[in-house]
Amino acid sequence: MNEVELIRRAQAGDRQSCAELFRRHAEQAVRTAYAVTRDWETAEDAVQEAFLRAFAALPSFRTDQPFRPWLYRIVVREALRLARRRQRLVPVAQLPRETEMPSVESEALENLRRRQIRAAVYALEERLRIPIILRYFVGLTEAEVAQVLGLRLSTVKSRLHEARRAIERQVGPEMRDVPWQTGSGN
Amino acid sequence: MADWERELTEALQEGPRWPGDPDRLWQRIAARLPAAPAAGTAGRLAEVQAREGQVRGGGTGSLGAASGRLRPGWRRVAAGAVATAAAVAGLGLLGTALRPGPGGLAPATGESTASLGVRGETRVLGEPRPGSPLRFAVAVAGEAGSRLQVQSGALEVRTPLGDLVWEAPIPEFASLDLGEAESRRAEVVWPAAGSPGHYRAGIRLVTVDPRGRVEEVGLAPAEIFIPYPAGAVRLGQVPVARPITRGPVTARVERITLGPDRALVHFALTGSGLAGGFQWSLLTPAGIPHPHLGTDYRQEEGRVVGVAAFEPVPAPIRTLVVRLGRVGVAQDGGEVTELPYVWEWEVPLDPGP
Repeated sequence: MNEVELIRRAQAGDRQSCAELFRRHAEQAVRTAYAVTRDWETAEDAVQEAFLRAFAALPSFRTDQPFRPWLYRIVVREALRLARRRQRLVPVAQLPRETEMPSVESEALENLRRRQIRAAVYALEERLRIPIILRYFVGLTEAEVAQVLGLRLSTVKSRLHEARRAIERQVGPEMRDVPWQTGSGN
Repeated sequence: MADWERELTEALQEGPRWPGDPDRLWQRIAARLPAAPAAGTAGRLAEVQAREGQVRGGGTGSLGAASGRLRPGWRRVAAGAVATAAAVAGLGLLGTALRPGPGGLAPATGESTASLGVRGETRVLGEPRPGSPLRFAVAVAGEAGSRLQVQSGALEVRTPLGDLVWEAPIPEFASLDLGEAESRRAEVVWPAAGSPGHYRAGIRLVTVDPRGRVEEVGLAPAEIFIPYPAGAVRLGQVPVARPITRGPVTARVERITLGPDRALVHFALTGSGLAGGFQWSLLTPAGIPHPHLGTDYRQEEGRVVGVAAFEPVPAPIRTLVVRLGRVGVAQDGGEVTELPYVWEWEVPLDPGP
């Protein structure tokens, strides 16, 4: 069943369709919330609240609009709210490690590089990390990221650019091979 | 998609997998779903508040731990605010300079924030005192290029942990149609501000955008500090300067500064691969946690140096336990894990013999 039909059934009160919508988005929603909260328990709580809010607001959702930006807007907002509520956990940007694991295997090197990129993303401050996650993990367009975060498109572009620079500083020059694309939001 | 974008996407897709169980999480959600999704948008604020009440009452883990901290003596008042139609002068949102409060102090002000096509501002008028009325000036304005319908609005006062201690509807913000550069102002009175301590007051709106989407937004929280009576809290500096090493991380509490509005723990952390986060707690010897207000830190020369702020320490307390936990480090693979250690200092507050 396609997603629009699922949403329509969920809007009509079909709980199985709600469950299916949850199943389709749960893993990515929790991982997105984790990128905000850095804590799996808090991420799960955020997604729980986000889906409850989403289902409550679903009757007003128009099915000619994309569902994912609408849903992730709620997920990110809940994750931010819970992260701030539990603000005693202080996020800290990663300090440089004294040594990095050496490897001569190209595959291992590639994996290591991906891990380094990931670690660099997770070490970004929140205002840079969340746009990067929404753009490159969730797969939203720049315009959708702007919509989710309530920011101007130019601000999102600027933050993505700043984030990329910060990642480059952590993982090396390969990411500079291609000039930064400001893009059109797609 | 450019090569670097593909590389970034692949790296993130490979990232840490959710260790939880989707079915179990769905059961938690399904248990709280109504028989059918709510129809319409009327009464949405009440629904949301009712749900938040459920969360606070039935939270698990750290959420539950945080939820039971309503201050003794705080009352939850559903109505009782006096909202007037009088114009509230001086809101920065409206382009007018901020003015000092009647007591000559700079008023606490929530920064003017933008979200979903609406901006808001909250100001505390006057000097907060326990048990006295406290006035707030609130304002909302439409963002450039947007048109928004506001269904309802309320002012909320919460603890730093987010627990709701008082709320009141703002009639001026009900059934508003806010266009670009249009604004509404109101004044709200908290009839009896209660226990000393730190709070946040902010506007909560239920909005409908031109596409018919209903959103609940929180805007412009302003910090409030209700001062403690003279002699009620400890003042002074307590040197500690004792490092403790657990695993790869050495933590050092330099000193504790006891002030009239907050207690500060000055600390430094050193260790390879510090990442993710850390958590400072201040407890009585009986293990009762002291409310945490926030932590500032900076990274310098391979270490983290910072200050953790807590509510002021009541005068009768003679010993404090400073605890550090949930310290994250990056593993060889780049994933961040929390160390299973606790760093703990017992600090007598009275001078030695």
